[in-house]
Amino acid sequence: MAPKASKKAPAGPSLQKDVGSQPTDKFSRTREGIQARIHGLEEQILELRRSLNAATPVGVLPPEILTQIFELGQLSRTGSVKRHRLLKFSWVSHHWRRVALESPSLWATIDNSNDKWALQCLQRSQGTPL
Amino acid sequence: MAAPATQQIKIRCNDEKEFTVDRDVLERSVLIKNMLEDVTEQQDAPIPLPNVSGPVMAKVLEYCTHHRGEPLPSADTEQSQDETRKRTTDISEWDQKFITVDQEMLFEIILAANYLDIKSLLDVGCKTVANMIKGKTPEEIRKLFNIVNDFTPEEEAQIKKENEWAEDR
Repeated sequence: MAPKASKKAPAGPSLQKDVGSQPTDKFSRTREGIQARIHGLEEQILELRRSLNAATPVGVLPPEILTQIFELGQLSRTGSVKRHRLLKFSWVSHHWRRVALESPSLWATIDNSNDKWALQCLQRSQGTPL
Repeated sequence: MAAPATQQIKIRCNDEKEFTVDRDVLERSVLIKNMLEDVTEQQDAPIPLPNVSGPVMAKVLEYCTHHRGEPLPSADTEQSQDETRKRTTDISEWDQKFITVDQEMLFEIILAANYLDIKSLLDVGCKTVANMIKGKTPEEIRKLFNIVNDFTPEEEAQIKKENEWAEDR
């Protein structure tokens, strides 16, 4: 006796159509639920990583002191500003990046060696006298 | 009338550790200097310093004792000195030896200098950290300070873009 399902799903073009079709509502809902959980867990992991960073000796420094350190850290021996150093500081962690981006004075020297960077410096300096 | 230079002042740290120090040494701290100027009568009770521990205060006092007698920056000269200080990260030999401590102590000294308002010590601390991170890659800086990568995927994408722009230089 043929299986019950084969009676309901005739062979031929219609079966081919089913292969490439979207998952049913049931699967969509399940997958969406799982993806939401994964997203939530990823957020939690990020939060934990940030807490881990806050619990380091350097993590005790308030933003205004970190800004001073960035300002000094981007100076060359001759006292000229090396913009790529500031960029690298802003690629260390979420907190360092926020501090760097939220300190307009750090970006107030235009880097005219690159058009894209000149524009970025202008935007990040937020009207601070250049 | 100015108090004699030999006047001794007592301070108490947040771990109950007490120090008795010459007034001119303590006056390297603008915070304490202002406190002392506000007190009209001789008082025996120690000045409480709730944000500094005994071991950190001992280091701060070592610095203040070494630099006693040096002129303190006045409000007028402060801005121009700030500008000069910012143009260099050079540190004197004695200060370099003094600040060669473990990371925990280094950052505690910086916090204490900020709280006690000792600009020259804060400056030594900030320059030391600046010299530690100069010329290092983000990964090397993370390793140095035990920092983990905590960027969102969006931040990672933006950083990748910035990296490409920086390479266009």
